[in-house]
Amino acid sequence: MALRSVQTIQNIHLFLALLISSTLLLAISANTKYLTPVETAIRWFAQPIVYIAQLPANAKEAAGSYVVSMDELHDRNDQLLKEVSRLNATMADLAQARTTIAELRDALGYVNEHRRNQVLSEIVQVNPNRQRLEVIINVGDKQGIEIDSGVLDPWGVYGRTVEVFPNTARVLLLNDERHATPVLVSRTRQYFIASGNGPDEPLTLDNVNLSSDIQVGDAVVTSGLGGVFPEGLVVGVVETVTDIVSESIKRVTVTPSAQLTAKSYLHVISSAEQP
Amino acid sequence: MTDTQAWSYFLLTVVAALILTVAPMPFDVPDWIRNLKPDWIFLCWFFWIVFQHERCSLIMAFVVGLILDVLYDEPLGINSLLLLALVFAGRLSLRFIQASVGLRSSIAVLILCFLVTATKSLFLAVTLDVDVPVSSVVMPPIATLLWWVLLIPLLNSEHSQFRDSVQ
Repeated sequence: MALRSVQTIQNIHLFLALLISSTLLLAISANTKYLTPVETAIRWFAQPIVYIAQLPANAKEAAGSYVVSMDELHDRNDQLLKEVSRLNATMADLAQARTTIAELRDALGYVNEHRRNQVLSEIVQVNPNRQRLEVIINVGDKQGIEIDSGVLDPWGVYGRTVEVFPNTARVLLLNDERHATPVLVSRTRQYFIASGNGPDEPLTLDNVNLSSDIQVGDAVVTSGLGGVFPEGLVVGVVETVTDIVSESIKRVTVTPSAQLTAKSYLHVISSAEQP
Repeated sequence: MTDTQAWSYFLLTVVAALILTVAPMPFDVPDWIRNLKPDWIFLCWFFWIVFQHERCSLIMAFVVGLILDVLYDEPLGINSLLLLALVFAGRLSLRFIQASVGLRSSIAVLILCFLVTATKSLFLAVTLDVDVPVSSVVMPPIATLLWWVLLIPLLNSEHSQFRDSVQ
């Protein structure tokens, strides 16, 4: 008898009401953006859960950075000194190149580009849903970050911000299926769109004609179109070029330069002009 | 166990399941290990449906589902819908489990978890147009089942309403 009562949904009206509510919410949120404020409110409420879930990983990282042997510290110090020396040499080259570029721009009558600020940030959360390649970073509205700000890691273009909170922002990764980046092939300066294809998959260039001159190993950089990234940031390297004669196109895959599965510091391009 | 204690345990386990759900795995973990992560919310919810069904109120399922939607960044309502369906299906499955709690509850966990995972994956594949690997649909129910086996002895404890109902 007890079991029979257990098996009956005691409040069928409530069950149906909640079922209909869920379905309505689902229909609205899957097709419109009207529920974004509700999602933001729930995200605030759920923030402590995310914070606690990150604690073990953060503690491990903190322990790893504090508990090291003296020999290891010496090794790291040596490596860093070598790296600083190498970077100083590179900086000198870059300063020379910058001067040359400025002279060329003057000679050609180019208007100077606005130089943008870059804000350093750290990844504080990775979306547990593997179909959504997103991370949360620890800078947001208060640090001048806006929606559609470009995000870079030390190796290249990493993604762009899709949602900004006061102190955090959600970043859509370069290889997410919803991400598309206006790019150009450095060697030929042909413009394309590089689309993401999901985790562990290379990017693909869309609508490449059979006649397009693209070779394996060509560098792919941002084109500056779209306004998210300035021109010339490294996106990746052409990995394969396959002719699809039946469709009169080439299938071109690009290996992203950014380390999209590694935890590293990220630079967010802020719209605020550099002083 | 008093009613207050039971509610405390229930809420603690739900929060723990939410935390385990969003706890990050190291970046360099291969996909097959990533897919072995059980569906902690399913595990928690199904356990309480069998253990003390009255804890799993419909409103609670709805609210936890909404939190899960946001944590997973999925369309609002999908997890609420699935949790409500789980409460319904879980309560219906109690009669089936009654005859042999160990074996039949494991079968129920495997089937229901697979249905929940497959339904959600299918929905996301259709609405968001994303490719869902077969392994991410098949492996979580198996991992959930392995954890469920550890919980079976608790179903026979003196606090279990399930045991009372069988008697």
